[in-house]
Amino acid sequence: MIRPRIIATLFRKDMVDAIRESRVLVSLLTPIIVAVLYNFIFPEEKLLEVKAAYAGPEASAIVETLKARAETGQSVSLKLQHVATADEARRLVETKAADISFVLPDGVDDAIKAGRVPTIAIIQPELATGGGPGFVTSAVQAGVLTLAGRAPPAIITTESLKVGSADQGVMGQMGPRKYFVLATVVMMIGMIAVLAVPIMLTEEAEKKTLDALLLVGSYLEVIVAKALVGLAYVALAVAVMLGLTRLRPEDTITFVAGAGLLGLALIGIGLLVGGLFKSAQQVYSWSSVMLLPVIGPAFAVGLPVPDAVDAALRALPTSQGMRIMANGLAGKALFSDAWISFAVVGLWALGAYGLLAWRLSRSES
Amino acid sequence: MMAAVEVTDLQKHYGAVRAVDGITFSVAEGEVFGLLGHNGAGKTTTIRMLTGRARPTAGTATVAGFDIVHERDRIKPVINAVFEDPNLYERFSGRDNLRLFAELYGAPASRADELLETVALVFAARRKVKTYSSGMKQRLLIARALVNTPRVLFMDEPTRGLDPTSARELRALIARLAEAGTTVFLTTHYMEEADELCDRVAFLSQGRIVALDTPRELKLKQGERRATVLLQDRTEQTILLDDPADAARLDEWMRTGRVLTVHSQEGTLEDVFVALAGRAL
Repeated sequence: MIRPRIIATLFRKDMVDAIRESRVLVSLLTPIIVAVLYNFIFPEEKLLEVKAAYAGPEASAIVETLKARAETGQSVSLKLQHVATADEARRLVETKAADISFVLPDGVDDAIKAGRVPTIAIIQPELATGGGPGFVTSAVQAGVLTLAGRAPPAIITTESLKVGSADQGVMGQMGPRKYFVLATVVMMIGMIAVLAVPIMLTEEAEKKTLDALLLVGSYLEVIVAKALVGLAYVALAVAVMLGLTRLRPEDTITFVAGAGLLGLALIGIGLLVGGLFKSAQQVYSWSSVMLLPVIGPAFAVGLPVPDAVDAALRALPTSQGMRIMANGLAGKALFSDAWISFAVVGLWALGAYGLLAWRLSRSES
Repeated sequence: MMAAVEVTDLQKHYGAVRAVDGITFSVAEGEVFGLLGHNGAGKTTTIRMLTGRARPTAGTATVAGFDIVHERDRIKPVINAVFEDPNLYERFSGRDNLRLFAELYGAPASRADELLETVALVFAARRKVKTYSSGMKQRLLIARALVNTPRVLFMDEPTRGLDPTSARELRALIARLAEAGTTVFLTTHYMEEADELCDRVAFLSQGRIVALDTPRELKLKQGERRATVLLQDRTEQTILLDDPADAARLDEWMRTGRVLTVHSQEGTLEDVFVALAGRAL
């Protein structure tokens, strides 16, 4: 029998109590610190950053063209600021708060359409460097041509390459920052599942508080509560990590499904592991041995590895979880056969909870 | 009156080891019942079975009228236990420990404050349990065990490791619980404690009950009925109360005014246990 009231009470207790345990706190904070570190070490994938300002009508089609060009390209990060006056636009360039600015006269769109040849002033430093000002200038020109009803004679795209980067695999497609931050997200799910959750469970048994809980609840209720706490920590920690590293999954449903399913499977394994140890300190001492096969595969997914290693990786929940989440983060199928990934992680979850149920039935007899 | 605990030929085997080997007894409602024995005699295993934590290998038992195997979920709301170890959430305050269990049992949160008063821990209600002394922790354990107002309270070595003052306070608390009608099922190493608190005691040795009666009857059955007489000339004389010759000697000393003091020397529960189990606790 499962009583929601008991589970909810234990859940609330563990959510508060677990992070007071220093070893659990370390398991939560370490991956976040690593992710933030990766976030600084590896550059933004958009190699060209442009800070632009403009004065004049805020909703001009020229501005919209500029924004659209920045969004469709993968290589430009445009920070566009609207200011009230031309003087303000000039001041921002003078103070280097903007790389370039431009001034649109009132009614510029209608004037161009009517063929009245309005003046658009572009303000840039005397010795403008980098591709940013050029990108803005060409986008403004394209916008003007469009308004005038003339198609550009050609579409010129710019691809900015990091010279010397030969990796064209998944890491190349995602960019090292996203790749390593994602691997660290998987690392965190692993640390919560096979370190924090087993510590929580083992500490209850070690300090005999489990005996007191079992007077009112069942072992199954205790286990379900711990699993839910693990999942809640996974959800919170992943959200915090994505927030700190400014990563936004393009396909949120796939990303969340991957993280949730992986968390569920690994927590099942963690709860099984927790039953093998007599003390929380033992779990902590053996954590590196347990974590290596759980976390390691996340950092090898998509990299050029021998076929045998690749086959082994495909059988592990972490690497398949990483594949699902990578697809979700990129918003496209970086890895094909997503259903196989879901099936593998799902089978691990079924196996772990099946074994757990078997062990529970033995422990209560 | 319905028995609070009814045990019939209860057994628990771990492989070839017979931890509990066919015990039979009953405990009346409101009775303080003591289960005494060496370490490994089967006391804790018996409590584990009666509280639904272990399944018996054979035999039957009911607690508060419910079968311990088939009605475990119905037993849980009407029993509670004080364990040998101070198994409290040390990072929580005393009040939060009690509130947690009040919530688990579906009791109002105000029950925590009532119980803190009962065990005289109001002054430390907000302090983390890890700062409590052993005696305070033991009182908090008892408060936690009362959170659901249990009909049957199991106590496993409740005064172990306590200083004499704390132990005395705890015994007084147990006595008050019994007076209020709670059935107390106690295991202890301390014979004096069992003698003072228990209405009846059972001696457990190697998984079997070797004696079960009131402390007085056990002492009368097993102990020697002797007295030590201190005479005016400061000599001590030991007399056997069942011996007619000794009775005549005592009568003579009394008539001639030679007796200063008389100390009865009935057997202790320890003596009884040694006689029955072959060694002291």
